[in-house]
Amino acid sequence: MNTNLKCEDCQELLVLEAYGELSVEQKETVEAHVAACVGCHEERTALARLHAAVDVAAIEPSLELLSACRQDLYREVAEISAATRAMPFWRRMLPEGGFWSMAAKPAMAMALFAAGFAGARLVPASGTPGGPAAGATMSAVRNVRYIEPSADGKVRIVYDEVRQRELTGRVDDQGVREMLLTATRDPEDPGLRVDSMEVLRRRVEHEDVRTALVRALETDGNEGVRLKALEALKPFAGHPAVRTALTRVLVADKSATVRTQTIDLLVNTRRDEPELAGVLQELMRREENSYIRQRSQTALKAMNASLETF
Amino acid sequence: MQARELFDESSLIRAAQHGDHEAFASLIRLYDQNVLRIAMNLLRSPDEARDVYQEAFLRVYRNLHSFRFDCRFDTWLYRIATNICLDHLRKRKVRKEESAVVETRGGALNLLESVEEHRADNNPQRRLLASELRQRINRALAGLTPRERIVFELRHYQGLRLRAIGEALGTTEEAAKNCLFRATQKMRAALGDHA
Repeated sequence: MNTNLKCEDCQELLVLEAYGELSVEQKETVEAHVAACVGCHEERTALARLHAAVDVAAIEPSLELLSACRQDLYREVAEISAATRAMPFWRRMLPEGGFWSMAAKPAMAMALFAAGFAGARLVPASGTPGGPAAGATMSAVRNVRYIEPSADGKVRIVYDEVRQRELTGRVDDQGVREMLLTATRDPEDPGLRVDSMEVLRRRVEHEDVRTALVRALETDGNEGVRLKALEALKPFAGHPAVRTALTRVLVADKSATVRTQTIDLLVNTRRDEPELAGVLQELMRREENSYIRQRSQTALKAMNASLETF
Repeated sequence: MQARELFDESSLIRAAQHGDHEAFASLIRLYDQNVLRIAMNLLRSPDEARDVYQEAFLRVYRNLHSFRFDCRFDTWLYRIATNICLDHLRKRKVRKEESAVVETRGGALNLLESVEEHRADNNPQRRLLASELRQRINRALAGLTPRERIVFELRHYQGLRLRAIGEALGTTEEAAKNCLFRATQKMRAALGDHA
């Protein structure tokens, strides 16, 4: 503990202390300093007075104002929406035109390109058996591969096409399960990853599902997806492979929310685990989040383990 | 925020991204009171707060398609709202002292009278003292730079963590900390014995 804290440093920490923004260590350091320093003790009291005084100036907007704001907004949104519907389809596809699916963006952009191209040079559908009916299937065009003009003024185009298909079945059907497992790795849409996990969590007893969830928990870049994977894995928190993954996440995940929920899960389901004690001791040494440190400390005490590694 | 809420919120966001207006309205209702409160406390003007509300949520409406869940939705929203508030604060060319009386669409309005009173007090002397203190605090708040004011507002009145404030302002937690420290020092100096 640093007992040589200067008054000016202590006073900076006191500002943070008043908002609960200090780590356990910092709080201990401040306590030790304030106990021995009259000036900083008075500073702490003055800050408490300031907080109490400033609270009286808080403004709570009236419900009438809130209601008026909501009405303004809904009116404006309705106008924008109506104007958007009145636009030609190519204009609606532009981002400022309103909502459209994130996932559809690449295909839409390609479709715009292809539609513009087709308007100038494609022959009518009637003249091209098996070819695209211009306009009707342009949204399926994913990529134009090459273009071959001919002497009679026509042009031959080779393109990739994306078609929407539907698959209905039970989660245990092999095709459905594989599709859901693939969706847990979708690179574009975190929402899709969360949706697939929501369905798969009912089959977490299957190893392939657990493996997918553990992979998502350890590697997904999106915090919400990782939390979803963690939630789905809860019933199997005692499973050796899951537990190993949880300890890795506890040490490595960059999100304090994920780490917090992970330590809760690990500690609530703990047994006699020397490995867990080692991880918790490591956390006591390097974890910044005060809640996680406190949780580690409590768990270590309950395990009759020392708080530090030697 | 609990995990369950997070997922419900992400479902709303995705539905709104696909053009579901009901989902958009539900999403807005989760946060619009906070946004209005932030704007009201920062700008101390119902008209300006109303403008900020409108502009912030229209930006959200227009740009929701680009929200990719890289950060929390409320962080993204507060970033938009605080940027608009910052613009408003910077546009105020003359800010010697903020009066409690502001011009509104409906004429002059005393902000302190328009505010919902949490602690009804029948003692006239105590009411007067509280009113004086509020005015003094308003002046002290007006003496902060726009950024200091926003950090102070978000931390003190809205209870956001400094890390979240840093993210909302596009800066670091450390910078937000320094801002909060400066704001507190200025408030203490301005309020003197009143605090």
